Amino acid sequence: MSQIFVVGVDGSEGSARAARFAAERAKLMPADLKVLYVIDWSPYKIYTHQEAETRGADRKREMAEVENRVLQPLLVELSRDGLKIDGEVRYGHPSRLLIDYAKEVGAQEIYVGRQGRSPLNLIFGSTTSHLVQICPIPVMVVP
Amino acid sequence: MLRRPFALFAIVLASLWILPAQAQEAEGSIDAAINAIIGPVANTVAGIIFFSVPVAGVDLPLIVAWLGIAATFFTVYFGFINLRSFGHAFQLLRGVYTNPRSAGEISHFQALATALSGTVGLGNIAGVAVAISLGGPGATVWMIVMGLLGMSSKFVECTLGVKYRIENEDGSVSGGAMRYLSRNFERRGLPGLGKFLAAFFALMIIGAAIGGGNMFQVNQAYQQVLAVTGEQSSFFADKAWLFGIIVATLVGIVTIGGVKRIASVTDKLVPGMAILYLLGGLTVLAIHFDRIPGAVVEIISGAFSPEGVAGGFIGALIQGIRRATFSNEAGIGTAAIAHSAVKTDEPITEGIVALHEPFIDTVVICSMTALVIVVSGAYQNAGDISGVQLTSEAFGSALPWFPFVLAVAVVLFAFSTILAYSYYIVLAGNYLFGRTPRVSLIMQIIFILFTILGATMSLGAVVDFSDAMLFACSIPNIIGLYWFASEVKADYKSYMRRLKAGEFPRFK
Repeated sequence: MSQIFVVGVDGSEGSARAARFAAERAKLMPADLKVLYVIDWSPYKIYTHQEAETRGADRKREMAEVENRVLQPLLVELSRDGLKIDGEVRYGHPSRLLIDYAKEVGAQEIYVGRQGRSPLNLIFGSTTSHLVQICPIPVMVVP
Repeated sequence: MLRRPFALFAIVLASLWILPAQAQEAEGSIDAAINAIIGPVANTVAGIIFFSVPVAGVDLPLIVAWLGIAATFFTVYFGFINLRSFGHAFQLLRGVYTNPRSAGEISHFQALATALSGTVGLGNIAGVAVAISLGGPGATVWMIVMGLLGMSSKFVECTLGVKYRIENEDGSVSGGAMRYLSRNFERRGLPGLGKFLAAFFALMIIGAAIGGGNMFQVNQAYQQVLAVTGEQSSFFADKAWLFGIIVATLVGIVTIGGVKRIASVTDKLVPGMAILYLLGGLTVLAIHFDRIPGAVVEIISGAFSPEGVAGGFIGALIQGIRRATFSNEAGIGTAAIAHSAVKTDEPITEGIVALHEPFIDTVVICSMTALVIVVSGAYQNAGDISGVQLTSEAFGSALPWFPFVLAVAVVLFAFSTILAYSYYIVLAGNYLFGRTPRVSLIMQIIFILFTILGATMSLGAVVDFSDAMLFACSIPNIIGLYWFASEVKADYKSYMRRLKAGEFPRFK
């Protein structure tokens, strides 16, 4: 059975670098690569009446946008050289969702970028640092 | 497309700022003039809705009995669902039965929070004070009882709200009393009755949005801001219209100008403010710890044999029911709109979650206000002060700085409730006159004009008009609830059976 690697992306340059690095590693192993785009979301975030009414529509739009703008181009780029790769967009708490997803697909390793999209976490992305602290499988942080 | 409404809005606003200023120079007090014109109209409307019959020598408004009987009936009919399913609601709110793959859609918690932003408002702070000044401390008991019974009405209407919502192709949803009245009666072969009741409801909710969801809120917010900025010496003294225009401008910026950010921020601050308010209340109770037993006795004895209350026992009961319903809107049908945005395949689950709404609103927040007012003794020598001023005085007697915090809370509560109703009025307008941008714009302009009027009017006239319009919504709504009760009961039984059989996977 071949290995499975998971890479978490968020549309940032750093996460794209992590995905490319993970693809190189996966080819060497060889391993299958699964790309997870996480849209940060909490079930406790409060919405106004209008936002609540259109939430279902907004979700569809957001997912399609991310799929077309980030995920598909990345999958096309990395699937050259015969790498087995697929990807998904999900909503949730980024680090916890990455761990749950890795468990779900039976991954051996998680790859993430060092910095996320948020400009506030300049030194070390908060998602990444949280992931490193709680992840039960090896995490590769790509600078 | 976007530019034209905005330009129109700017013109309306500009004229609002200029006209009153000129008018004021001409006749002294614009506030008094507005009162003189609108007051009689408001009183006439209130007179019709509050048609009363004498019971034990007291005038009992039929609409109050209608609300109280419905809440009691649903509680008994559903076997005290308000108590029995209360715990299950916590599981649903925590997402125990929510598939993580549906993340990104409105959760049970979010639907409840959105609904609460519309219901938790000045009714909880000022309305309670009105109940106590008119019905004595005993009105508190009836308010709490009505809050508990109202949970059952809320369960029925929110279940129906989700069950008969329309899921549009783009994924957005529209639900609420208008939908379940029209769609369910149509399904039962009575499309005419459904259309009539839904249109009646839509018409009444326009009035409710203008009254309780708007004028009452801005009126009481103004009173509190006036109180903390120095009463007669305040900049806002005799300038209620100016306060009204400021609030109306902000509302207009959100609803017509489309600056949704203000609404998001307000709604995020409201839960924090509610917690701050409760903590303030607890602090007052802690300071007056020794007076609590006396206050409890006063409240309970006042519920059954109130002294000096107009109408005695029935008088206290009427005030309790009126203020509880005004605050939690159970049986009114409004909250079903917010609840129907939830992502679920089981409408019953949202009905169960909605049980928490009257509980938090009335049994928790209103009771806190009532206890603070009674414990502080502020109501005894209140003289002619009422509404939010009485609540503020009660808090201020123990925590002199709290009225300032209260002013901030009151403005935020009022603003979030006003925004919720500015949404309801557009939905109602769209239902009656068509889903076009022009209709929406006209409704929004009417709405903000009444924001200004609300600030200037006297509390009594505003309360009567607000109650009348809000309670009138319960006429078509509760007819529907009775009609559909057996259907909801069958759904509830089916849901509980499958829940016990473990048919719903647990995710936590």
